[in-house]
Amino acid sequence: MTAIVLSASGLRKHYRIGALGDHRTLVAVDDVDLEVRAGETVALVGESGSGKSTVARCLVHLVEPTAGEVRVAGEPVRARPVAALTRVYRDVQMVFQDPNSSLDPRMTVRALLAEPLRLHLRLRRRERDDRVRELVEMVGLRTDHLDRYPHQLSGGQRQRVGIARALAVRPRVVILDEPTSSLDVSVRGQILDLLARVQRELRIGYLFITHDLAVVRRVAHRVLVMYLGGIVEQGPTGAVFARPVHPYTRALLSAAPVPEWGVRRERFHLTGEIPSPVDLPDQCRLVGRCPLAVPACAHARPPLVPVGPGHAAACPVETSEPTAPPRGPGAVRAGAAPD
Amino acid sequence: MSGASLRVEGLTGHFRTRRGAVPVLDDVSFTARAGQVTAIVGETGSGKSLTALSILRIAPPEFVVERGRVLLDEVDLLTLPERRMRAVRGARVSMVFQDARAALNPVLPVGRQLADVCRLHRPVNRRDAEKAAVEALAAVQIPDAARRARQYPHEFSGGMAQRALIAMALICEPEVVVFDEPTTGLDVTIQAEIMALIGTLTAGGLTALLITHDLGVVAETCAAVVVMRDGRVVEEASTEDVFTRPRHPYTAELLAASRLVEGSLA
Ligand SMILES: Nc1ncnc2c1ncn2[C@@H]1O[C@H](COP(=O)(O)OP(=O)(O)OP(=O)(O)O)[C@@H](O)[C@H]1O
Ligand SMILES: Nc1ncnc2c1ncn2[C@@H]1O[C@H](COP(=O)(O)OP(=O)(O)OP(=O)(O)O)[C@@H](O)[C@H]1O
Ligand code: SF4
Ligand SMILES: [Mg+2]
Ligand SMILES: [Mg+2]
Repeated sequence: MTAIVLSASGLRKHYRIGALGDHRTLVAVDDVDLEVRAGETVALVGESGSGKSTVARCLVHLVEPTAGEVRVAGEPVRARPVAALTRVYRDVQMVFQDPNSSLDPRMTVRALLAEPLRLHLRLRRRERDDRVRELVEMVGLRTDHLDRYPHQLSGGQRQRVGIARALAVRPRVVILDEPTSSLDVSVRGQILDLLARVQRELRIGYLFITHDLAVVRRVAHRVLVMYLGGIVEQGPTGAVFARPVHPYTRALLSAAPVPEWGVRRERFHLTGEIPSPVDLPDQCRLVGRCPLAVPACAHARPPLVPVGPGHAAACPVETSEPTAPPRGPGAVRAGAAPD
Repeated sequence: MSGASLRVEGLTGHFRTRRGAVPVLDDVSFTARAGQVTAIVGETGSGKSLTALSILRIAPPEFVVERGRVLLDEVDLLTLPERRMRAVRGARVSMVFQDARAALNPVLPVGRQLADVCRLHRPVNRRDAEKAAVEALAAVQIPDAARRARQYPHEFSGGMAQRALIAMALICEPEVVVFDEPTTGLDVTIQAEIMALIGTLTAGGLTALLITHDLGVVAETCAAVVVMRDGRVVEEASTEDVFTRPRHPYTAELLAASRLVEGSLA
């Protein structure tokens, strides 16, 4: 079996919020287990605010988890001495959700790309210059972008600088938080091809956080679906898209708009208000929004149970139904969907 | 809401840089009709955001508009004195910026920022402005809006910051809103809610200009499409025509690329 390059177990992150005397706990991440293997792409999808970026920040120790353990190449991250931590930071690279605030505004693109080469690979000036030029071309930017500052680039150009910077140091695993959201579809395709190529060469593992389900479908081997701090469904990408089990996954997949005139998917609707992650009771997080809910759903928080090879979902109502028919997020106008 | 349409005519401009002028916009013209969502799609770096910023006259100072007009109900915004332009910005024409978190002030609670925008353009007291802020946050599906209003931007997820910015653009009930990739950080269920909200507002007369890379959103919610490439408008047509009879090869290329990626999903 392939080596696990990044894993988390029992990961939790709580924030204390509210004024003095009115303390409440916001549960951003609630007991998440995940692993990414060498050469594997794992997609993390889910509701906005469900804790995806917080998981990412815990994995690179940008925030200290409230509980749980993160391992890089099998070794717990926290136990390492500082010298080993710089090694961790080379092994694990992150592409941030908003490139605007993660790229130092006072550095040119050239300096932004040269810095990790100097720090982690200790390349000399000459080699650095060559490598920097290679990197910008690799992500489809021009060498005349090298002397620009981040604010002199368009959103999509900045995103590609972030990707080039992460790939520069030949990491073992890269966490990409919405890396292609500002790219037009053709550049997006090129970047996805590039990521796949680099992955094949270096056996990098990717944790790919995105709202773009088409991208998930195209690049991910496995997908994890988060809702309100927890993973509600996970499995091989093909299986999850062909037969989404958890009601949230079904709602999510059915809401993806189709890029064709006059074609719409049949929606599986959730009702009611999106709850806030503050002082959550111990019950299924979808209670109150789920059209399939039964009273038992409010008794305890359902665990993930297997529904197929490598495929699991946290909904006893759906998973106890033995002969659930396949439910793809099919388009309404038959024959209109290209495949 | 009255319906005001927005017409951009011959907008041409360049960046002043140390290496000389970098042309960015070349004769950009299109119309966003009242009561509709008009999409701007196209290449990354093709000048979509700059077009939007130029409409509101908030492009960076190095950007020089050489010529062109931005007509809001026959009034050219580019020639208005800055004092009158300030009354237009936010109140009649507002914008949702591409990078939500950077557009929010990190040291002020989110609700306060919304209330401030409200008070800038309306004769309301602080209490009422704060109430309006909470309502505006709730309208964009932010749960527990009253509590969230007291939080700072870093306590919001990426998608919540984006929704807060949408709320801020809508709080003064403007006639025209330019949305620069408003839903990129949102999951598709919330995206659908936001697009439904924009749909309701346009049905009430709002003119919406939507910059997006998501052709699915365009197909489902936009009436007309402007396709940009390399600083130019290469095609402007109804959404149906763009999807079924694209005229420019670049439009066809975009559609093909999106089908390549999305095809497997449907
Ligand atoms: N520093 C903080 N203080 C308090 N609450 C926080 C903080 N950072 C994040 N949160 C909260 O934690 C929850 C999860 O946020 P997170 O950014 O991880 O969501 P996300 O899944 O990445 O969402 P999105 O898709 O919108 O980016 C949200 O409710 C958010 O408001
Ligand atoms: N300060 C600047 N100096 C020089 N060129 C700039 C500056 N700011 C932006 N540009 C260039 O202007 C062009 C248009 O940028 P704009 O932000 O409008 O693109 P966009 O179409 O919105 O792209 P995206 O889809 O990536 O957001 C880009 O090629 C960008 O590199
Ligand atoms: S456990 Fe109940 S409320 Fe939760 S998703 Fe399943 S049916 Fe819906
Ligand atoms: Mg996020
Ligand atoms: Mg832009």
